[in-house]
Amino acid sequence: MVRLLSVLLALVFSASAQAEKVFVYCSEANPKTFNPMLADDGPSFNASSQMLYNRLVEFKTGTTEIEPSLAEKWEISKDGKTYTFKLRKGVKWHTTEAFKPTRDFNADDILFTFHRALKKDHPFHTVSGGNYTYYLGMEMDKLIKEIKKVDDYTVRFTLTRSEAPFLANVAMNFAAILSAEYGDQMIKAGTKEKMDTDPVGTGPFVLKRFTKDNSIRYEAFTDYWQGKAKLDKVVFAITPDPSVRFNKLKAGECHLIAEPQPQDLPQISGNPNLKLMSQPGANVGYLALNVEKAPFNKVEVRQAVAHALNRENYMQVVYQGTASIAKNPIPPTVWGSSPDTKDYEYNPEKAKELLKKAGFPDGFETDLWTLPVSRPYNPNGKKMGELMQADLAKVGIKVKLVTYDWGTYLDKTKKGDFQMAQLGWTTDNGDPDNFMGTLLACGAINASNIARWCDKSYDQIVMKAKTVTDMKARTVQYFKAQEAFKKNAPWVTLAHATVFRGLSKKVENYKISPLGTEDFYPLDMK
Amino acid sequence: MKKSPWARLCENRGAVVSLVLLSVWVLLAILAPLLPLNPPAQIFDGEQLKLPMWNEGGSSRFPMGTDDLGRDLLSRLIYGAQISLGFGFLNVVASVLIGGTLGLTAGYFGGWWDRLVLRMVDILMALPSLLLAIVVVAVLGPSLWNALWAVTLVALPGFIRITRASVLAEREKEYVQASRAFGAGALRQMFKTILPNCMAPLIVQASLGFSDGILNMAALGFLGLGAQPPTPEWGAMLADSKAYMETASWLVYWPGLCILSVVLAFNLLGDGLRDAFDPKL
Amino acid sequence: MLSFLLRRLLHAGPTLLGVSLVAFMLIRLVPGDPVLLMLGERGGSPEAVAQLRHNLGLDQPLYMQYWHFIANAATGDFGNSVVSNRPVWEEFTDRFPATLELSLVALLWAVLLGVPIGVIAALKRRRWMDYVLMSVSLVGYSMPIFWWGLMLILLFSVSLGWTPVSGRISAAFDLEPWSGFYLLDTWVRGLGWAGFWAAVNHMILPALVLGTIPFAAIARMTRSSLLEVMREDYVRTAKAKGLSFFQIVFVHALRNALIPVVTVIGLMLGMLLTGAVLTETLFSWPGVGRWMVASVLARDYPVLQSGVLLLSVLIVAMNVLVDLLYTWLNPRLRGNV
Repeated sequence: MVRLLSVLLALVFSASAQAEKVFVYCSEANPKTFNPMLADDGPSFNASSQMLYNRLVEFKTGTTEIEPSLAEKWEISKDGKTYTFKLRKGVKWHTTEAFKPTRDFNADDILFTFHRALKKDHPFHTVSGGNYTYYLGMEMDKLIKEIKKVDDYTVRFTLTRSEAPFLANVAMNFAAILSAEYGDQMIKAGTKEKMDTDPVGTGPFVLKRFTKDNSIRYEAFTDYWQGKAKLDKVVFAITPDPSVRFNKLKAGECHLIAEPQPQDLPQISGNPNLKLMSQPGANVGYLALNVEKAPFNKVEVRQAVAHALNRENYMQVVYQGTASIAKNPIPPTVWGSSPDTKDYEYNPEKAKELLKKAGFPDGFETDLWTLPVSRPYNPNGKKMGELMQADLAKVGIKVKLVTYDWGTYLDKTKKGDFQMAQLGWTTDNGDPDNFMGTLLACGAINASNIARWCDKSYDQIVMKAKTVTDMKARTVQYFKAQEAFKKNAPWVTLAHATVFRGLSKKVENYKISPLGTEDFYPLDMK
Repeated sequence: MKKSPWARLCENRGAVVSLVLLSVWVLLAILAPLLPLNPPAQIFDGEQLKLPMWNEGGSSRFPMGTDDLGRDLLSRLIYGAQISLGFGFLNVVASVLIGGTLGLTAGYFGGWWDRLVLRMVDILMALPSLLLAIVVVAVLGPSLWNALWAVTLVALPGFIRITRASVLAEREKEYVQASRAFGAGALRQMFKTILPNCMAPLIVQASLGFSDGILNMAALGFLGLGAQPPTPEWGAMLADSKAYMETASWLVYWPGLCILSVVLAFNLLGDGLRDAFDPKL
Repeated sequence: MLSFLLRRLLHAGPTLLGVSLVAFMLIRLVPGDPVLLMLGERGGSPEAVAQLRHNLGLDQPLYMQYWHFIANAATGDFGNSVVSNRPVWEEFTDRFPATLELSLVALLWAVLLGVPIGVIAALKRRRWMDYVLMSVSLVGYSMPIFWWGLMLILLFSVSLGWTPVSGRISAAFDLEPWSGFYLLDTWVRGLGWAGFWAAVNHMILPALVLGTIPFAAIARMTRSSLLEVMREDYVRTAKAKGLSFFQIVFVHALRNALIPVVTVIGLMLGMLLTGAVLTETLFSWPGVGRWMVASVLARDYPVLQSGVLLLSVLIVAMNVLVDLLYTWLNPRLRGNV
């Protein structure tokens, strides 16, 4: 009986699907916001930046190459301090319930967007909490001296110093361009938060409805400047449980799933209706040791932890052989990763010695935060946490495992509330600075430098690496930086994981992005 | 001749079965450290997801296989009995002590104290039980002991009401009136005269309270709000093995069956006790 | 009847006040400053902290905060969720129909199956049929439903592939809620049979799981209540009069036996809400139970405080209703409740 019904269902289903191309993506978490400038996590960027907005320049789908977007072309001054962007004409804004645009995209929107994050007296600066994680983490506030509107379709950025990765930075998700006209209207209506909850962008899809813990629905934007997407509708089915995502993929309820579990991979590749795609990930999973909290303020303790963890075992148990041990923050797939770094080998005896030297012959008690969601760089934080707990117990460190929901977890780790915490990173511009600077520089404390490690000499090396433009010279600097990092051990570097995607064979043109984000605009369905 | 409740209980097949089952569990739980078991929290590197010994590829080293981290499932199940029965017991003791005392004094003294206690019961009953427990744990922080307090708080109304009701019934009986005439003090009357005669319903409630407590503790563990790793708690074990439902289904079967068997036994015992004390039915 | 209702409502008032105080205090017992907990460090510019503290009314003395909480609640303002920034009331009404629909379907099968099974067991007392039925219901009564749900998923979804594993309807159906009852809305919004079956299919397992304990409780209650009634004088009289067994059971005894059963069903709301927390979590059912669990993990205190209060109001209201029904069914009690 039930089978009969499902056959019936499938029939009616396929009939209706032909009329409309509905693409269902089983995502792993609620977006924290629909405004990319306030976001700092993959699920939020996928749901906002990629779907709804554009940036001045963008990464070509599936690569780290930069291509024109809202800026048609640009000029960089000889000293590397001035960037002049020529903007595209005829770019339309979304029309939504909250907003009817009266003009096309222009230079005012660029100024509005960047000034909101950078100027403390901007009317929107404190709206929705005012957490501009990336702007701070990338030190954009210190870098950008001035943004000038030359005419309606020309803007000029003046920087305080030459910055090699600047163009890649403004191609990143957080630099999505918002509508100044929408902002003005919301000021008049007294509903400024709407900017962030009822988004209006220039991107390929329009947000139709967000139901928390359930789904996000989008429709193709008919007037999109690159042409209407081939998909008519896109649905993000929010499914935090990875085994449920896998079952939904098998049942045909979703066409693409985020972060399949390693143990499900053989089943995906063996299924005639599904395909498994993979790519060496430009990511790193790490265990951050909060250097502001005793006993991790002692470098010996941090080194002891690094010696105590049996990472070889994690590769098998947690990643099922789909990752390699990380010795650097920079993954080998990104240039600048140092092959000479000497890693801390698994050696409990040495760990005990180091602990003794640091004044903890009997170990100590502490907390370890485990990731609440599966991420590309760590598919099962809790499981890894239990393995770490057992490893650390062997050298006398008694660990309590702690976790929160994803949003709270991110907030609290940034705040430095923890002692040890698992986290990781997928590059969002393919530049080594995106690891060494963004995650470890002094200026990124309270943003993405969650270990709160601040070393002046290290900072100088990284700063120098950023201001010179010659790639060889930069590489030398990053090698030096990695050596300094390793010696100080603010993290235990854990893994560079291969990124997998399970998808239905109906889906065409899908590419895994090395930057960890999903771009659905080019997709089509059979 | 009137049979004693104990004799009647022994005639009740269900109750006997439940007593045997519970004795086995209690013995296993107490003797666990003496049994030739692997330590429940020890991770055996390279021995993840080993099949139980009766399957091909299983070995007698891990009779019921290992979990996703490579820990001995049999050992975890048996040590899990310590947690479930132990904390179930603590929960019942705390409920009887607190709930019994409140019910006894409320029924005995009456007046404003009775009204106050009844109002508290009303308030607790108006809160959805598991939800209240969840919120309490959220406030106190997830741990086994905090889960115990939460579950006990939720169990209180039942114990208070049962005790109070039987105290009210006893209070007006002749022997109580007589003992008062002989000048027995309030405490003596409550605990020496009335309480022993209210034991029957309290014992039945305690047996049922055991099963409720174990279920609720397991539910909190399942939601990640009870026992924290690496404690081998049945509910938490279930939550961890959810992801391996297809590839390692034995990890899902056994913890659930353990919970079911213990809860079932206490419910059977409760039914048996009720029939034994009240042979009408 | 009216005065009874009034008395009952007067009694409910202080209880609800007590509940609101419990909900209010629970949240205040959280260690640490709730504002700093809610904000990340970067939201923590002193002005932003002060702003949020003010918005939440946390800069006022405790008794004023409590007063505002209940005064606002009385006018239907339950504050805003910290996570979604939407009114708690809206969030609640978005999700409540999902829980209600699931609970009603669960209760429906529990009653339709539980009452007949209880009656059969009572009529076949002490025979094998009785033992089998009562064993089944005892197992159901003792079931850890989160495990039961996993077993059903393993069998029906994973092995047989018959039923979906989560949610209320396939994501491909764009169903804009009308009543919030998907079994109805699929028709209202013109999704037709395909949509309706998708909704039914998603409903089967969660409803089965959620109804298990109520089913067992109803079966057990019906059996013991019927057995008790059968021993009463009027049944004996009826037997003596020579009425047929059928008449005795179904015309006289059952009617009276069902009075306590009705009460139990009414009081089952609390049980269903408890079950809904686990069932909804297991099946990703977007209802109130899952919302509360998610709010616990997100430390969304306004949601917890008001959510607990709202659910309690529901339970208290239901209890009043049951009391009314009970007195109506059983007029002897009217004087002295």
